[in-house]
Amino acid sequence: MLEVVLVWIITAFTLYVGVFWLIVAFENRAVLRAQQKPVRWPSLSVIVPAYNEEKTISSCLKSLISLKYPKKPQIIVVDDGSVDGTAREVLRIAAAHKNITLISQPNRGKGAALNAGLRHAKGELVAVMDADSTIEPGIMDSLVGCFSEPRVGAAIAAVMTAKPARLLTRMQTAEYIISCLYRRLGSLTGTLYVTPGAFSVFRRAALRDVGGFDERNLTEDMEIALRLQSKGWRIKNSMVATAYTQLPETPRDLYRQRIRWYRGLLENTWKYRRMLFNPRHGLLGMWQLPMNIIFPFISLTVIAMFVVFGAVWAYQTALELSIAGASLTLPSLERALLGLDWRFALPWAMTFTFGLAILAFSCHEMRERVSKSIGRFGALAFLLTYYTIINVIWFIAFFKTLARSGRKW
Amino acid sequence: MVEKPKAARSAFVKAAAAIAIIFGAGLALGAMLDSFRISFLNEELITANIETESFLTSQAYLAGHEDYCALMHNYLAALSRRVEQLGEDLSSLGSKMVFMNSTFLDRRYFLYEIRLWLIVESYKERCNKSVNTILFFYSDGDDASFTQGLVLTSIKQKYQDNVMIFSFKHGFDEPALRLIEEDYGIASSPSLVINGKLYSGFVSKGNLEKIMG
Repeated sequence: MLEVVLVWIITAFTLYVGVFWLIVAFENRAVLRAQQKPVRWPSLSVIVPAYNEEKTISSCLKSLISLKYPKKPQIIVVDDGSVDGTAREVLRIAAAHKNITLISQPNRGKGAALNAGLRHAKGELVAVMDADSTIEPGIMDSLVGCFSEPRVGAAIAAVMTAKPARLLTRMQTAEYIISCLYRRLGSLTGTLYVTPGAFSVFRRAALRDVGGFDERNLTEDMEIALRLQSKGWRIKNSMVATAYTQLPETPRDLYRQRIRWYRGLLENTWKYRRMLFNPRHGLLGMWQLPMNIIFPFISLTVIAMFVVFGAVWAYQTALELSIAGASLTLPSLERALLGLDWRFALPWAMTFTFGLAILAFSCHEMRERVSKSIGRFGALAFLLTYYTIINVIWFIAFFKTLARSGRKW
Repeated sequence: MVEKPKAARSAFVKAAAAIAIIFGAGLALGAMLDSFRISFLNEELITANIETESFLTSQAYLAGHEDYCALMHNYLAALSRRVEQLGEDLSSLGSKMVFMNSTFLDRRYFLYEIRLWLIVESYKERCNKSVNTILFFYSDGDDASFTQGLVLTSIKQKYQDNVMIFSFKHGFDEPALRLIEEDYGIASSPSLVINGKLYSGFVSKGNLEKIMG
């Protein structure tokens, strides 16, 4: 009976969190679709840290060149000790565009590369952009509008994926679509805890105020977000701006990326633990940051229960097959209902249906078509397996963090 | 002018209300399912009892008939399949009920089994038939009982109408069942009473076949 109570409590809590965000979304639908028009156009610098990005840097720079901005932006590419032709590619494009500058340094990590770019940046606003990302030409229209409030230290865009082809990237796309809506809601509730490296814009004064990027952090984009907020700066998410990023295409690459992300999340949550349950930081401290830690544990409890029950079921089925043999007759509806354990089936069905609703709603709000971006099979695979896989990786990251094992970028 | 976002505080309360409604609906659905299952099994038991009544009536009518044994054999085979199906249904229901107690169904089922077992025993005596009767005493959540049940299923599949198995929950609170347990000295589970002789503990398929001859 204990396991039944546990499953129902976990389901209630999970659905509660989901319903909470859905209500916030419904109540703010008008705001979610609004575009904040800029009052003025401050000068802009864009920093692109690059490490072995020979294949992607040109599309990144091309999208920056096509950026619609009244003042010509200063574009700084920081080559962080690449051993491929990244620098050569940048110089080739820079030859025709005088606003592009290349800074080369020995490999010191992304945080250090961003700080190197920051030292050369002259703009009132500083955008940071991953070298494997691209942007829409009008991305700055609404991002600049976010800075009309003086205490806004950063503005972020939705990060979407470019042409997912494989099942793994399609499942990640589903996750990104939900995350995009989640971040927009986070902007309304002041719970944003990351300024994605794909494309984020900062007030240079704010970056200077907090001392620039942490050069030893696994996820400097989360660290800077928490540091800005811990010092009273706010972060906004543009409701219309979109940047596009490349996704890990193999399980190994996804595993490595997520280990880095989740270790970064755990380390930064520990670093900023004074913000946890601190009412001074509003919903970010009282709700979002604790949830970042609590939720994976809840998911892992569910996974552990599935594994235990699955093992018992597999053992009993194997025993039944070996002793009594297989029965190939299909049960009637009445007999199928007799065997249905609704104490577990109902919470599972509710969670699945709710997950489907969240995915459909997120796609609707982000103007994405499920069949085109994710595919029906991708959506099903996402709902049935993705968070299980991700939570297992989170669990590994948790133990790696506890064990303080070697960190890899 | 961009509209100001609405506060999230009220969303906490609204979400709690929504969850209460969703879970209330879920529990109501579960209660309906429980009720359906009880009704379904109850009807099955009533039908089984009517079939037994029909058997007993026919038995009384055919008492002096020369084909008595052949006719009764067919009747018993049908009743045996019925008891087997009911056993599977009750076992499938297991402990999945939340809102309703299925103990009275178990009780009716065990009484039905005892009645049928007695009928089979009298049929064996009168018709001089070598049908093996097995009384199986089990406990829920006991691995040995579970495995013994599987072995008996396998035996039933192999010997069909030549073996009749009646399963009872050991220690179940039913006077008639207690009487049988006391009579045969059933002290633990699994226990088997094969053609009137007690075998305590797990009995393998090979040993069962030897005992049944």
